[in-house]
Amino acid sequence: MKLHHRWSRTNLTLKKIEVVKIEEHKLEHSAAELKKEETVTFTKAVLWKSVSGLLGILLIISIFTDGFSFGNSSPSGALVAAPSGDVVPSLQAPSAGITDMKVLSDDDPFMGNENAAVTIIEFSDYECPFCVKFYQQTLPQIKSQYIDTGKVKFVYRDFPLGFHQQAEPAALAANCAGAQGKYFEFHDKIFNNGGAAGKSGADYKKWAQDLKLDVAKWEKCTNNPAQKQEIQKDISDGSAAGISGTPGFIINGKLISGAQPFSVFKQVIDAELN
Amino acid sequence: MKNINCVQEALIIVYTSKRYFFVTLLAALVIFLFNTLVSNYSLLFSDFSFSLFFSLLKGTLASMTILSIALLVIMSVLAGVITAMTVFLVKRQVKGNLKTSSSSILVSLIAPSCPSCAMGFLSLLGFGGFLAVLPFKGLELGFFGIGLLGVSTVYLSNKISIKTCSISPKIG
Repeated sequence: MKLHHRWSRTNLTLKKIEVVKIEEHKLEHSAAELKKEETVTFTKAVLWKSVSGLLGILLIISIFTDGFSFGNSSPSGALVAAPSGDVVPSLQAPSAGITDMKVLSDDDPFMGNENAAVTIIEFSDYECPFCVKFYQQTLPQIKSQYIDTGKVKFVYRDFPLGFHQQAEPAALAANCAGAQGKYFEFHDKIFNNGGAAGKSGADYKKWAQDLKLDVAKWEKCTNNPAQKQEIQKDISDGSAAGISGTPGFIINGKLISGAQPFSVFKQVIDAELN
Repeated sequence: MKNINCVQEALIIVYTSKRYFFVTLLAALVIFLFNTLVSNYSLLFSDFSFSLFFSLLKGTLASMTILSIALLVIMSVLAGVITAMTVFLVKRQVKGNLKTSSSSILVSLIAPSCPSCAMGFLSLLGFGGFLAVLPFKGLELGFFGIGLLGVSTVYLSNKISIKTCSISPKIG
């Protein structure tokens, strides 16, 4: 019995020591936790991830808000002016109802009903192969189904790209034919001959003769600086409207990029007509 | 030769699990679609329909050269492989890969850009003029992108095929 009693006492003491030790450990742990709460550590990886994540979110927001333009639309639908002679690409693609199509059409040549419900403005480059493709494959269908039926007004504006050597001379030649009332005849001549690639002034002169233009007057016109300024204005307006390549189209404020098939135009035009 | 073996080994390790095929395919598809449709994103968002989606895709592809399409497909697939490798490494809790993977995948977003047809992310951001100055009008970016993606693949493969955990020089 004595032994048992001593053992029990010893056992109790051992237990007490254990309890004390556990409590001491708990105190130390709490102190360590408290210390942890007072300091915050950022590793390089966390910082990099946070910055990348934030930039990614900002990029997504900018895409959805057309470059952070939250409801920034001028009531008159005025375009953002770009310095004349510079191609200033804009991230602000026009959305329906914001772009003033009359302003964007300017005084450039058009086909179809001037007061049509839908206006298509093509920004094109005579040396661009995709513009040739659009002219040959898609424009005939748009013309027969929408332009000739009075539903669409089709405006042609120049957007010669800097690395296409013949784009501007061809545009000048066509504009000067237009000054004598034969713009689209000359425009068709260029595209029916595969575009301006590989062509020269001699070709344009021959076509001017074929169309029975006053060639001397036409040639003088092509050397007129005002005609070059007109082309630069087209480029500026196109860039401001969100055109970044050719062919580019604005259909009642909606931007279409590239030589898209007729089905794309049909859907957009029908949506506007309805 | 060592790098090629390393890549082969890493691909075997990663694609032992079928789910990584799915990850690769999904990532490649996203990159591919992003590059083909980004220049008409506003139209797609304003007037979305599946017929418009497919018409735009078809039209955009028809406007690209064969070389551009080939470069885009290669970049998309490589980006998909890198994505699968990254997911694998993250699951294996191997640190330090997100930087390499993210930057490579961002490179694949620029893709072969055709300045005259306004395709590609760079043209959308207004760098069409810059692309026009390049000798191959932006196609160099496709080759550059593939090169960078290739380097990233090798780097990630080294991480995957490693069979030991490295000891940090700071310890001891």
